[in-house]
Amino acid sequence: MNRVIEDDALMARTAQGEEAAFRLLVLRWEKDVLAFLIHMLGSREEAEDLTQETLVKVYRQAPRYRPEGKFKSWLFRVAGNLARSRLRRRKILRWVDFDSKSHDQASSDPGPQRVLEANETAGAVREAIAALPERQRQALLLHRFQGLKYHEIAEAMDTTLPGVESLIQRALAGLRSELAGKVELS
Amino acid sequence: MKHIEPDIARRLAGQLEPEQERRFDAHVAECPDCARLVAETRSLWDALGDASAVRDAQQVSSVWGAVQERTTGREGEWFFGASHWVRSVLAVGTVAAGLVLSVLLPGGGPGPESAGAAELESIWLEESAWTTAAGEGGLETLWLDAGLESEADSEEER
Ligand SMILES: [Zn+2]
Repeated sequence: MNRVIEDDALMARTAQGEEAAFRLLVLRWEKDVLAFLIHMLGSREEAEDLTQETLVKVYRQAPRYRPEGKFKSWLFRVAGNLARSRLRRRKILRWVDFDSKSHDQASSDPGPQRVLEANETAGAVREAIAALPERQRQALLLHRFQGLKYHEIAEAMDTTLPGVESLIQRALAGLRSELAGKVELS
Repeated sequence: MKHIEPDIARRLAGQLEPEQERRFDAHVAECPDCARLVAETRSLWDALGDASAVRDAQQVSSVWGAVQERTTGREGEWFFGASHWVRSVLAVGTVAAGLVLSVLLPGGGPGPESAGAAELESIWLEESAWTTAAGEGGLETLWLDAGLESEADSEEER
């Protein structure tokens, strides 16, 4: 994508407190971050909440950001880390208070999202994505939906290239077997 | 003969080098097992695209207001918290200073790296129009066209 002003330049100007530059970054990336977090968390409400957190963090860390042309990896690293700590917290909550109603709401939040899934196949696929182990899910989302290259995913997830290769291979294998029978795969 | 399973996703995403891609395709052409796996993964790949949450994300209104409140808005409090009179003087002063500077420093319009707030705004308008109108495969093809958007809006209203 040929941006008129590169993300790195906007980050530098954000670090200097230029609101318009930061606003452009937010508008440019918020939907991608939100879509990623919806899949990571399975709840639109929580995803919106963490999208905000992610972007606030981007602003606060702007002065320390190194302009190496890796903004996207860095952004999804911030979002991914927030998502995974939220998921961890959720697990603890579930364990401590497993019949909490508010929690059930968060994980199976029907809401508008459900309405949109007129297509049952898409629903089954989403459920299968949600059932993947966290790191497999994260790597697959970054590759399939955000178009990140393997080396960028490695940076975003603090792992190696073979690590990413293995995560994605296992994610796809998991989805193929989970969806076999439910969804027609060729 | 080395099988190609670890490369399937990159092949489907168009991220293999030309030489790798040629070897991949050559292998698939002569290995029925891999051909089956590729066909299956390709369908899965497409199904994933259809299940993307990008469409949902497009319908959520911008978080900018909330983010601004917690970032730049907070720093602007000294200004917006000040009395109306002080703000007016500052605003008029800023505009006047801008006019004086534009007279003193003629020529050499701002390049893209030094674009001001208004220019950043128009860049955003261009970018958002571009993404909605053109798209470029993958994610972008799922970005809403106008029809879908209004349909979904009315659905939410009900
Ligand atoms: Zn083979």
